[in-house]
Amino acid sequence: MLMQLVVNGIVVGSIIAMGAIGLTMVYGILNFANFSHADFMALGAYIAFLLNVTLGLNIILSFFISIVITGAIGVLLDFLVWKPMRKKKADLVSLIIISIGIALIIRNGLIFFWGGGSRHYDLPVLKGTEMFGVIVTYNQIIAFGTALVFMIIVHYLLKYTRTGKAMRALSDDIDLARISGINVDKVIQWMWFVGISLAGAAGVLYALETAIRPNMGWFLLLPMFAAVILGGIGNPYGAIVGGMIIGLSQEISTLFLPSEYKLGVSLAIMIVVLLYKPEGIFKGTKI
Amino acid sequence: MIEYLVAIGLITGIFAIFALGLNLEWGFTGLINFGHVGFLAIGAYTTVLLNQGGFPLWISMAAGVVLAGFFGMLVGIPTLKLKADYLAIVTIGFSEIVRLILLNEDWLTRGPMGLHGFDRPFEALIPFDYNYFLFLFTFVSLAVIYILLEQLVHSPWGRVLKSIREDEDVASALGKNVFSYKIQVLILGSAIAGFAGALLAFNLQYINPRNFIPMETFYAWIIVVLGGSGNNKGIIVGAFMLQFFYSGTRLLQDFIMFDSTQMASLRIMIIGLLLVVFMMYKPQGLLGKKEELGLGR
Amino acid sequence: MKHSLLEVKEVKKQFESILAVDDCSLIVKKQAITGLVGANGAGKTTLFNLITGYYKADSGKILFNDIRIDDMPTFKRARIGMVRTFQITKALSRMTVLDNMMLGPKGQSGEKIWNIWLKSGKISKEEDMAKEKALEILDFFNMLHMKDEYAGALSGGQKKLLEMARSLMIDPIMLLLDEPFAGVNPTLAKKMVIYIKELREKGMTFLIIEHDIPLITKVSDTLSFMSQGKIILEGTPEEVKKDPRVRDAYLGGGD
Repeated sequence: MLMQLVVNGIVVGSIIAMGAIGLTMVYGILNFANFSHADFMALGAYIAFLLNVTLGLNIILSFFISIVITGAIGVLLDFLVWKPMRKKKADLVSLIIISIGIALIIRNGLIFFWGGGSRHYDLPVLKGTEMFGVIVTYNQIIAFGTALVFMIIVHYLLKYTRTGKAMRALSDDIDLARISGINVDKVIQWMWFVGISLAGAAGVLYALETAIRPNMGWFLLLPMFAAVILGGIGNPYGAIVGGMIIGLSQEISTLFLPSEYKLGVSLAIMIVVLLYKPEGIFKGTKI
Repeated sequence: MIEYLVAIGLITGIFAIFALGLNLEWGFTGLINFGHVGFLAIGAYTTVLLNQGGFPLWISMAAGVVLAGFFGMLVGIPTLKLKADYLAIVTIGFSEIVRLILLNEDWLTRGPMGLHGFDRPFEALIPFDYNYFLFLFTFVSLAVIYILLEQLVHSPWGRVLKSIREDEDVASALGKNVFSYKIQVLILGSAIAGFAGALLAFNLQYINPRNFIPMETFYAWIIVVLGGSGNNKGIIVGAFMLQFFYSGTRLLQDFIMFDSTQMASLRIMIIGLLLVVFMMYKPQGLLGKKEELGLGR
Repeated sequence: MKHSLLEVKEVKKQFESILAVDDCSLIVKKQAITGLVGANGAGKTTLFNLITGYYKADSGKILFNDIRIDDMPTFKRARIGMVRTFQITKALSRMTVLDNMMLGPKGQSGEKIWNIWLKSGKISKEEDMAKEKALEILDFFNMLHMKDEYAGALSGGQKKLLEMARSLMIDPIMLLLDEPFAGVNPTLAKKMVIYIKELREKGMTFLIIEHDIPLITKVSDTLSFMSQGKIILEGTPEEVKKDPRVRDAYLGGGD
């Protein structure tokens, strides 16, 4: 039983981690908690649904096109909303409220077009396989494997590309980065693209694991914030570890708590971290 | 017709009270509470459950208000010493947990079935349509809360709140205990929400967890943003504007090809859009003072 | 001789990889006006933040009036008489100039919520007194005509003045001013120098960060020169100004 929960926890954890990477980058670089982040996961899942089911494309192709489109929408929003607000030097609390507005628009836009019910991709139903008494579904393997590959790609991006290094510089000190000749707006747009497309990808994977629902992001928002705070704001590696810890604790908690209260586990972990180590558990290991 | 207007007025009054609590937090102190509905729920359920358990209505109501305030304090303790974002995150989580508890603890709350059959203030004594009385009761409460809040925000106490909203570093440089003020505000704002919750229960006569979904919080937010944060009069106007928008779109529905789910989602999309546009271009709200426009913080 | 009012003992503060304040020690005597000078990034403002409690020191001790204050929260340090201004002005934008001022006084009865209904008479008396004092101080800073304007509408220099004026409302024992003259017109700056000296005669102590060397020379009794997180030189303004290290730091700046 425990092993089964550990397996489920690892899969969900890797999905939370993938979403949390983008959330923590925005938080670290632009300095605000983006409450719309989770709804981009749902958006990605629905765009893939549109491509896969409505237009009949192959799921893998749908997945990749969907994450590019989702990321592009993230960049578009930078042009429409975030960049003008940066120019105005808007105070950060108003950005948080704007992000809630965007979340409402996305979530209800999905309901408007696709209704409130759950949907599924056009996929052959595959049975799980049993390993050491634990049932692992193919979708879980695919979700975990894909998440792992994406995290490796992000690691490579941040460590070895110029844009990635610039992102790290921005998250350290945005003004210093500006005077040292980094094209701040462009780097921020890349950050949105990477962060939001990762969210979109995580959304598709989560939909594979469960189902496509307009409020699917909503139930991941709190776990993602918990992962970000646990891992230290602005630290993608922290967010990954945080995501795994949150995913595992949520699943394992079902041993002694009704599963409806999974969300409470995230909240509880978050509050403990805020009380005793508000800078997160990986201080000093920024990006 | 008059029954309809009274019914609409009632819900508007309740939401005005609910939003006044948020305005104290966000409009005057700069606290972001995204879980205001959690305190509404605590107020409603405590009032109803205690009354059903045999307590007099007034005591049940008072307990609802106090308990909502108490939970406001609990949520504030881990968050209010940190950046504003943390309160936003923790409150949104808190309100969801409250809703999940209401939904799943059947032994206490009857879960999704909800609760009905409880006293309402002076119900036995009112010879005419009770809704008229409740309307009166709500608006007298609104007036009292409004006046008390106006006294508060125009006092030296309120001056400290505004200084915290503008820049809490200055407030502490001048010897003000910022944390204590924030806690007081969150207790008071949540207690007001708790009171609104009791009124909501009286109005609905039947409460269930679906009355306390996260969206209720954002109705309060749009009221505050439209009416102008830090402007109590604006809040009351904002509540009427939201109601007007709601009833108006409901009337329109007969002429539009969208079904009711689509219409509901469209409404919320518009509310989301208004939040974005107002925060970007008119942060002082529709009624905010012009001079405040463009003042960098 | 006069007692020391503020004692900073081997205080250290590290940010990520930067050692901002490094074993820094400083003594400010009662009723003295001490200038704190040094190049940008020398750690002056960080030291201010440590003294006033906005940062917590990694190690070292800070004493004020012989009381250890390094674990005291900022607002309590202000209450025992230590008040600061900020380098980047922090006017409370959406409050009027007068409201900014009225915020100052310590121990206002009306700042306790119950008193608003229980002691309204006492509050209005206190408010009248505070207002009178506020208007007096505003008048000195030539800002009386602006009392009803939003602080956010003031110019940079005016905001600086408002900040200093606001701090005086608390009757501090010690005032820490972070570049009080920046952006203030020269005539007014000279008037402020005289005023600061007057306040000192009445018993107030000052620690002032300032880049304008002629002005800080005129106002202060001693200068402390900070470099790379340490006070490396202390003495009369004339002595300090002569030192080559100081001249290097202010290349083209001072006289």
